Amino acid sequence: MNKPESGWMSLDNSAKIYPAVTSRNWAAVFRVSVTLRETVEPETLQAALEDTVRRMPSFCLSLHRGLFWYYFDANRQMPRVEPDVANPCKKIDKKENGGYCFRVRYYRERIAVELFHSIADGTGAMVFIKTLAARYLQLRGFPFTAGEGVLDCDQPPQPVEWEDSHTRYARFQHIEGRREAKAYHPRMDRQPPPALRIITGTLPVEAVRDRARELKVTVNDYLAGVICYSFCRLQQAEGNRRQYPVKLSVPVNLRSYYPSETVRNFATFINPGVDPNYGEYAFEEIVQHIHHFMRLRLNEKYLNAVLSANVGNETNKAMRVVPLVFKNWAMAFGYRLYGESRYTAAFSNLGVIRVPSAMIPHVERFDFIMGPPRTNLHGATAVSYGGKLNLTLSSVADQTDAERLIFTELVKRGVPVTIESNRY
Amino acid sequence: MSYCVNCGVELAPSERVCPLCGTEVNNPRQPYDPAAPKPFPNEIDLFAPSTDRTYLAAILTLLMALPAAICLACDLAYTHGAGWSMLVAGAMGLLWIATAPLVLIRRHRVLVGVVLDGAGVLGYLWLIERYAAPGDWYLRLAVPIVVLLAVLIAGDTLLVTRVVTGKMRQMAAAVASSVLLLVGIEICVDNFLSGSVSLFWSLLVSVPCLILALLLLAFDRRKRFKEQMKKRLHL
Repeated sequence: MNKPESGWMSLDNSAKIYPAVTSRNWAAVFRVSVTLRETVEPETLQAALEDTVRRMPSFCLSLHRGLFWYYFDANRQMPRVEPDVANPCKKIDKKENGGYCFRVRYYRERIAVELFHSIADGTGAMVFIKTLAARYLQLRGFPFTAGEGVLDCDQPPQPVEWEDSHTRYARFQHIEGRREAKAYHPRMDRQPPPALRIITGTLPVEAVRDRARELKVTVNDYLAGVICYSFCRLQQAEGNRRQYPVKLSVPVNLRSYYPSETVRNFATFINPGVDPNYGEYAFEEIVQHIHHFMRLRLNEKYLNAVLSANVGNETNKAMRVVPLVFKNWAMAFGYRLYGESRYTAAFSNLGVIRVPSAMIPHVERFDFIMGPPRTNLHGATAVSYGGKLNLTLSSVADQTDAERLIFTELVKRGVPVTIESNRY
Repeated sequence: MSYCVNCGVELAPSERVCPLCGTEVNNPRQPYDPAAPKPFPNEIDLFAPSTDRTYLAAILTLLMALPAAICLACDLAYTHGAGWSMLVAGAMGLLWIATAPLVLIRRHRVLVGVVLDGAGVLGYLWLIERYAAPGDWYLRLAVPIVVLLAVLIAGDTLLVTRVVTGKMRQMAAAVASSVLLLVGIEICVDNFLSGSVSLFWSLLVSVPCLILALLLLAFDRRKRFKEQMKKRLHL
C-alpha cells in the first residue's frame, strides 16, 4: 500500500475506467454540497479546506499517466476555494486547478465539492464535505464532535481510509458476466459542454415513505420506479416501432456489505428496469419489478461476483503488461459496450445523511448533483436530510420532458414537490 | 408560494418560469420577485482555451519552412539557380497560408482565410507560370477564376452568417450562388480559348441547380417534412 502523503498511489479498481473514457471536454464529475445557516466566509473555508486535505490525503493528489496505468501523485500545493457558478460539474482541467481532481466552491450559505470520480464515490465525497463543513464550523468557533462520517482534522490520517477495498474483498468464487441488452435513450437534442441543466425537487421524506410503504417497497425502489415509469411513458410518446428496455444504473455502496472504511471508490452498479416489449407496465408493476430485482441482486454473494469480474480484469497478468494507450482503447470500447448504452439514466441515492448533533443547528440541507453523462442525457440523484428529500435531475438535453414527467408523476401520487433550478 | 398551473409543482421564489414547462409564474398575491435568493449564481464556467496557438503556429511554420529551405539549398547548390525548388517552396508557403493564420486568428476566420488563401493560390499559380508553364493563361484564366471563387465564397459566408437563417434556406442560397460561379467560369474559359463568349454547358448545369434551390426553399416552408427529415437523417 502506498502512502498518498509521501508518494504515489495507484487508482482503485472502480477509478481506472474514468480517465480512460474521459474526452477533451468531458470527465466523470459529480458534486455534493452542504448548505449552512450562515453565509460562508471564503478565508475561513480556505483554512478549513487546507486542514481537511491534510486529514484526508487521498484527496490531496493529482492524476498522471504511467506507461501501464494511470497513477496519483501527492500534490504539494494547497487547493484554492473558488466562487460557485451556474453550470457546475465542468470537466476538471489539470491546468485550472493546480492539478487537483476536485474543486471546492462557495455561494451564499453553501459549500460545494465537485470531484472527478476516480478520487472517491458519493459516500467518500460525503465524508469529505461533512469533514470540511465540520472543520469550517469549528474554525468559526462552534463546538465540534467527530462521528457520523465526520473525521477529526486534528487526528492523523489512517491507512484504512485510502485502501483499495475492491481487491481486498473480491473472492473470485464466481465471475458474473456483464452481458446486457441495449437500453432506451430518449431522442433529444444535446447541449454542448459545459452546459448542465439542474432541476431539484424538494420532497417531504414522510410523504415519499408513506407512498413507498403502500406498495411495500423502500424509498429508493419507489423513486427508481417513478423515474423508470416516466422514461417508459417518454418512449411510448415517441412512438417508435422498436421498443428498448428502460433501465436505470443504480450504484450500490459496498461498504454496507463489507467492513471497509475507505473514502475512495467502493461501489458497484446494478441496472434494474423493465422491457416494454413484454407489454405495457403499470406504475405499480414497475415499482414491484424494480423492488424484486433489487432484492434478488442486493446480496453479498452476487455483488462479490460482480466485484470479482471487475477486479479480475485488472489483475489479469496479460492485461497488466499491455501499455496504457492500448488499455485505454480497450476500456473505452468496453465502456461503449457495457457502459451508458446499457442504461437509460443513472440514479444514485445517498440515503439519509446524518451529522453529529453539534452540527445539526448549523446545517440547512445537503445536495447531490450528477455531472453530465458522456453519451446519455439524464442523471438523477437523491439525498435526504432533516425530513426533506432533494431529488436532483441533471440533464444535458435541450428538452425538459423527462424531468416534467418525473416530478408531475410524484405530484399526481400525492407527493408535494418544490422545484428550483439553475436557469432563471 | 406559487404553483405551476401546468405541472402542479410548487415553485421556489427564485423561479420566474416553471423550469419543467416554461410556464410563467402568475400569482397576483405573490408576484415573482427578482431579488429573491437564487440557488445558483449567474456566472457561467467556460472552458479555458486549451491550445497554445502561438506555439502551434511556430511548429507549423518550422515544419513547412524546413523542406522548403532544404530544396532551395539543394537546387542552388547543384543547378546554380533556383528552378524546381521554387515550386516546392511555393507549395509549402501555400500550405502555411492555409493553416497558420487560421490557428492564430480568432475572429472573422472564414473571411480572412478566403482572402489569404485566394492570394496564396494566385501567388502559387504565378510561380507555376514563371518557372514551369509560361503563357498568358495566368492573367486571362487563372486570375479571374480565383478572384471570382474567392468573392463568391466570401459573399456566401456573409449571406449565410448574417442574412439568411435556417439550414434549408442557407443551402438554397449556396446552391443558387454556385450558378454564378459556373457562368463565370464558362465566360473566362470561352474568352481565353476563342475570345468570344457563348454560354452553353454552364446553363445546362445551372437549371438543375436553380430547381434544387427552389425545392429547398419549398421544403423549408413545410415544418412536418423538415421534422421527418431531421429525424431520419440525424447523426
